[in-house]
Amino acid sequence: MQGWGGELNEFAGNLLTDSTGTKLFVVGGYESGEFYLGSVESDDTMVIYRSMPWEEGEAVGSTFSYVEMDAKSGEVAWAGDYGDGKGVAVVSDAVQMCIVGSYSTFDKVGEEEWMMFDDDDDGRSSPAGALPPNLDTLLACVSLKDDSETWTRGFAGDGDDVPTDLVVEDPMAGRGGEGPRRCIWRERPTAPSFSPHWKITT
Amino acid sequence: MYIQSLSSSTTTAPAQTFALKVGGVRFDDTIRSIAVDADGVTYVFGEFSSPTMSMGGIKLTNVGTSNLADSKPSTDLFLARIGRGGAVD
Repeated sequence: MQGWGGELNEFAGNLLTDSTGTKLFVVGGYESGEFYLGSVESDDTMVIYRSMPWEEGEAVGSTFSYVEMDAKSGEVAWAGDYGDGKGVAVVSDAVQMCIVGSYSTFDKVGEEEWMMFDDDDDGRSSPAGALPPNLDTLLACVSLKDDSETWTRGFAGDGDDVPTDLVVEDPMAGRGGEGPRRCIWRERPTAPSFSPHWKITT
Repeated sequence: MYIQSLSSSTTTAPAQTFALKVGGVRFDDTIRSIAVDADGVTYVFGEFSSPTMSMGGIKLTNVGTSNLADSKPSTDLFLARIGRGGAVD
C-alpha cells in the first residue's frame, strides 16, 4: 500500500488495470504546493509535482495528475498533469489512454499556454470577472508509447463542469468492424437544479 | 469502511473470500475506486483525512496540515493492492 499526499488536500479519482494486469492507471487531483507521489513516509519519493497558483499571489489551484504504474511493483512508469479533475479510461492497452477532468486555470498550465478552451475569447475559461474561475471540462488522449499528448478538447459552460466517470466504447464492437471510439462521461451535480447527465463526443 | 470479497457463481450462493477494515478515525475517509484484474488482484484507491489510516496491517500517516476553518485535517491518498486471499502489499 502506498500513501500519496502533501500539506493540502489531494483527491482520488479513478483507477483501472489493463487487460493483462501488468499496468495500473491512476488519476486524481492535488492542491498541495508539493505533491509526493509514491510514498509519503519514504525519503526516496519517486515523483514530486508542484501545483500552479491560478493567479500570481493568489490561492493555489488544484492540479490533476495521471499516472501509469507497474501493477505488481507499484513503481511509477510515467506521470503527467493537467488542470484538475477525475476520470480515466484506457482506449487501447497498447496505444493510448483517454482521460477526463476539469480545470480552473485560465491562462496556462505548467509552461504551456492554456487558451484553447477560451469560449468568449477573453483569455479566460470562465465568464469574465468570475473569481475564482469556474471549472471547465478537459478531455485528453495520451499515447502510452511515448507519453505524448495526441489530442485535447475542452468543454465549457457558465457554471462548473466536473466530470466524474469516463467510458470509452466502440459502437461497432461485435458488429464486424471497428469504428470511431466514443467517449462518454458523467458530470457531478454542482447545483440543486442540476441533473446528472452523460455527455458524448466522438 | 470495509472491503468484502465474495465468490461469484451461477449455481451456488456467494461466499466470503476475505474482508478488510479500511481507514482511520474520521468518518469521511473514502474509497473512490476499486478495480480487479484478470488474476483476481484487487486495487483500491481512496482518500483519508484521519491522522493515520490502516488496511491489512499496513498503516499510513497523513502528512497534511489542518484546515483552520473547520479544524479538519487535509486529505491524502492511499493506493493498495490486495491479493486473492486478502493480503495487502
